[in-house]
Amino acid sequence: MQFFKRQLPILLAFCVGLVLWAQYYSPSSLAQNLQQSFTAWAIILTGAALILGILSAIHHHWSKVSTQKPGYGYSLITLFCFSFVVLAGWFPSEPIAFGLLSRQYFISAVFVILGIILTVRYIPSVKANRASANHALGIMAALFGVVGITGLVVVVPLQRYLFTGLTIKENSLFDWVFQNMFVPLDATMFSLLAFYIASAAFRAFRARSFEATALLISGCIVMIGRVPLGEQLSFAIAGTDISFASVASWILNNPNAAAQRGILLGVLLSMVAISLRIIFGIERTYMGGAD
Amino acid sequence: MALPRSVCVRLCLAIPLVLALLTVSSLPATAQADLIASDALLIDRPNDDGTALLLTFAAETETPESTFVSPEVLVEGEWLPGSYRARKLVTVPSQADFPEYFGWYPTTPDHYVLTVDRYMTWVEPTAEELQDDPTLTASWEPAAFEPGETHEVRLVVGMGTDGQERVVQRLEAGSATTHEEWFNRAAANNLVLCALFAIIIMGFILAARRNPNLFIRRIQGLEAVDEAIGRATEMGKPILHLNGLDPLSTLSTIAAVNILGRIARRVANYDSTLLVPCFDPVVMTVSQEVVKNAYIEAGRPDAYREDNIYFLTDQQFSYVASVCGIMVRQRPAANFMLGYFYAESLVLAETGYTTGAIQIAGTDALAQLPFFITTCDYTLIGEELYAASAYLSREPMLLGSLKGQDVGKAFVMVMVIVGSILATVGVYLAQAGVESQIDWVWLSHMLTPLT
Repeated sequence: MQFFKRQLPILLAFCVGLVLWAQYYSPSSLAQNLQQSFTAWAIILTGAALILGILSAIHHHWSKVSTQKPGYGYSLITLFCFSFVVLAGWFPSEPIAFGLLSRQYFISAVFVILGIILTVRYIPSVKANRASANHALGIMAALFGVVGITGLVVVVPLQRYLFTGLTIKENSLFDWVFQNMFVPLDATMFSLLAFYIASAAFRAFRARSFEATALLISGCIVMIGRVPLGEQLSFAIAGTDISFASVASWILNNPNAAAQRGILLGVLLSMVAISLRIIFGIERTYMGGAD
Repeated sequence: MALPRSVCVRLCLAIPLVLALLTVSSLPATAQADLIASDALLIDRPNDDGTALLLTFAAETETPESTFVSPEVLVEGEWLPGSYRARKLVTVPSQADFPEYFGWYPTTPDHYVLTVDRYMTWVEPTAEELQDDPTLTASWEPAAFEPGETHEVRLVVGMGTDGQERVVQRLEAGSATTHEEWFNRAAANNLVLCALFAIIIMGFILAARRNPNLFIRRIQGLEAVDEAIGRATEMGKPILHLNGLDPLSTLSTIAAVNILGRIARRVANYDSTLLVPCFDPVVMTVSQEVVKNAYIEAGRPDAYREDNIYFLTDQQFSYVASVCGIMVRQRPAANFMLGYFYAESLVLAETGYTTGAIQIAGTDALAQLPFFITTCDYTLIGEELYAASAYLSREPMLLGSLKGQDVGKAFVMVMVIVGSILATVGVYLAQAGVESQIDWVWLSHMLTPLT
């Protein structure tokens, strides 16, 4: 077991690391195909891991709800929204041709019933013993796996006839939820950034030290030089007109760019070093063992 | 009424002659007087996977702006278009723009270069395809070149715009065969520098095994880790750790997970609570394993709670909303924000600031560094994030790699200084009209990445 837990991952990291390093220097189709294969594997692994992620999120929120921890109402809303969006994805955009008993609805109903079964099995195990959460998670994973396999074996080959709603189209319920609920909420969170920038800038620009004063002055010059009105402004030194825009550009292109490149060089060299540490198995913390 | 035989013979001779004269008079003046393109040459594109040829040609400098060029490929006796559409000559790069193909000193730097990697074929939809989708129509489809294929190519030069285009010249460029290369010679300088740097780092790692007492400068942000965890323990509040928004394939995320392992071990010793809400399910799985092992190594496996390391969402601002909610409701006393962050960095850090938590951030995202510096108590800037794992563990072999990095940085600094001096001296010498007997340009070329 120790071999599979420690030696094998290090061996894999060593081999794959060296192969991909060599691949960078080869333009051959073999090398390109190899890189594409590894990228495809990474995508597949991420897709598989997403199932674990969803299970983890459901488990986390359901634990809060079932034990009624403070703020469990938010978890309840999260679970409700999650179920609602999943169901919305199953509804087609076209008018229902066969009424409520269409085959598409039948399969959707099967999925919903399976979801209920999962939840019903999960609640008692969590209530009975907190330590059995892993066990409950295992059962959920297995059942979701069955649902997934059912979907793949039945739904995908026959989706043209049975499950056209899987394709997200305009005017579908899912599209409506995405455009009218998710996008505005997302934009609202993003727009908070403007207010946070104002409060952070207020703290940063207080001239308490030489560095803060230099930041304040250069920040003001760059701000003036970057707005349409400021671009037209200039000042005279020894009879020479100097525009704010040119000073702002100088600050950005010289001291600012120099500092950024300095940081970037350090980062890139560190990346090479950490890559070597991982390839040669010197750094193993990410594998779950510190030393 | 039948014409006499002599009249018929004269007509037969006269009609082709008139047609030929009409054709010549319809050609533009440039085509008759002087040709636009010349010296067309077809070569295999170097350092590639054998799927493209390069068509180089010279052109008159005073060509009109509406001049366009396009390659044509000979396929089974028929000339087919070599691209979707013709390209304006003014937008076509020259040999000087491709040092990776023609070297730093091409013999004809002004010659234009067109990449030819396909020919277009007119494809009619099959009966089966039409059955599936009756709206399908015939269209031009590309057929890509394969390694080892020989193609004959000619250059088509045209003029005009808005439907008034006309071909003024067709120039044979000959034939060439595509070759697949196994090594990209243009990246040789990269390989040499990378290998050199790797040897230096490995040398220092080996040296550190013999002499483990290496001096590493103090990093304030990492010195404060114990203080932050201790403060949270005293206050009886949790510690929040974020691994950034990038997947585990990003090195900054791996560095963040490494630091998480070190932090988790200290948290286990202090018997405090560690919360790790994750953005990526793979990172979540690895984080769970790392924290679990840290608790085991600290002798506190019973204190490990898998529920505290969980997946939130993979949507950027949904994640931000959720983490901000955790900060406001659970009031963690210490926030660690390590890894790669995007626009959410300031929202997270500013929310943490308002809750009064001690905040330690670390990122190599240059655009987000100012936000973290402004709002966090300590910030690990760029490389310090990568050094953190070694710094916290004090493992000689990891510290050795830091020393190797420093030597690499010193090398780059020396090269930058020497390059700056040479460039400055070169400018003054050029102004003074002094021509250098030594060609120093090779130095900058050696360090300039070709790919």
